Amino acid sequence: MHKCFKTLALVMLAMILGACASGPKYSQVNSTLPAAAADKGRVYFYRSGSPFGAAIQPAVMLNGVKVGDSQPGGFFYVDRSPGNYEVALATEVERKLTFTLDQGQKRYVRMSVGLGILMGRVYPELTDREVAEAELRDLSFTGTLVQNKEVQRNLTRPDESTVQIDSSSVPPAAQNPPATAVPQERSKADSQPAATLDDLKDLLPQNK
Amino acid sequence: MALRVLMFPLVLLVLAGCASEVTRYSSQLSAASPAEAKDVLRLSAAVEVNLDTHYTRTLKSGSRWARVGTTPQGTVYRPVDSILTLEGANIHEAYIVVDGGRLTGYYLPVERAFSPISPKPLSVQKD
Repeated sequence: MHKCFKTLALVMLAMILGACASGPKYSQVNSTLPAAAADKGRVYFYRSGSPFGAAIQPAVMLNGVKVGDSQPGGFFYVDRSPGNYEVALATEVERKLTFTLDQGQKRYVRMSVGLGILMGRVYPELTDREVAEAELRDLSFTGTLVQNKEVQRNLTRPDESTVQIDSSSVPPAAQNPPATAVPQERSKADSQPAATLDDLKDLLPQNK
Repeated sequence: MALRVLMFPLVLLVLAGCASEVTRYSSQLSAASPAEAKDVLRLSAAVEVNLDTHYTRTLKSGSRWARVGTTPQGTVYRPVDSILTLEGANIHEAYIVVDGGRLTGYYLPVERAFSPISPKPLSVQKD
């Protein structure tokens, strides 16, 4: 019986740890994140690494469009045009957050876990920049590779940083960017050239 | 026994945070002129407000508020370097509405609505 509990505890621990986001920390990537286009604002979404409700990872909807998943210990951002925004998380009890976004403004949305009727629920809260910056420090970036190609390049530059990222350290969400990554890619289209066939050449098998 | 059976889902509902929606009604904001927008207030004393959704909001002493415009309910100020939200069933970004030196309610910029409170005197100084 005792052994059974131990096994169960280990399985639960593994599930909790497995549910947490992995990837470069905010403190490592913050300075290398590309700036938002001049006519855009930026919205950060983040969630603490608390194991409470770790298995609940709802989709994050911004004005009805999925922009990512709420992963414990993770953060990501999207750049958007100034305007009114509504954040909703697809959990048992939906609690929406509405806020405005100005040009050049940064907004921080913390996703917290609360009690639900049958299971926990995750809800969004608008957070002060000062508080958010402190809470973000140890969280892992769960954005996509495509969105943050420049970050990846900077982090793997051997002369600049000791942080090395390989494909295994990139969260699954990053390897399979959700359809929602598209709006952000579009927003950065002006500042970053699109990938060309030459960029992909290294990925193809060599024909001799 | 029946009471227990009844209480259980009730407690669960309370724990689940089934708060009521923030009371509000539509309100027209007239934007401040560029000169008026430079009008910034600083609270000299904290103000605590109990909302009808049972949440409490504290406007911190020293917090700064920039003029956004006017509504029929008063002058609207948005927080500078901080945020203010109203919480009920949902969470809304909010600005304060001041009339005759009193806080009369909140303006919800996304919903374009006014949420009234029992007026509270405000102790302010101009920045």
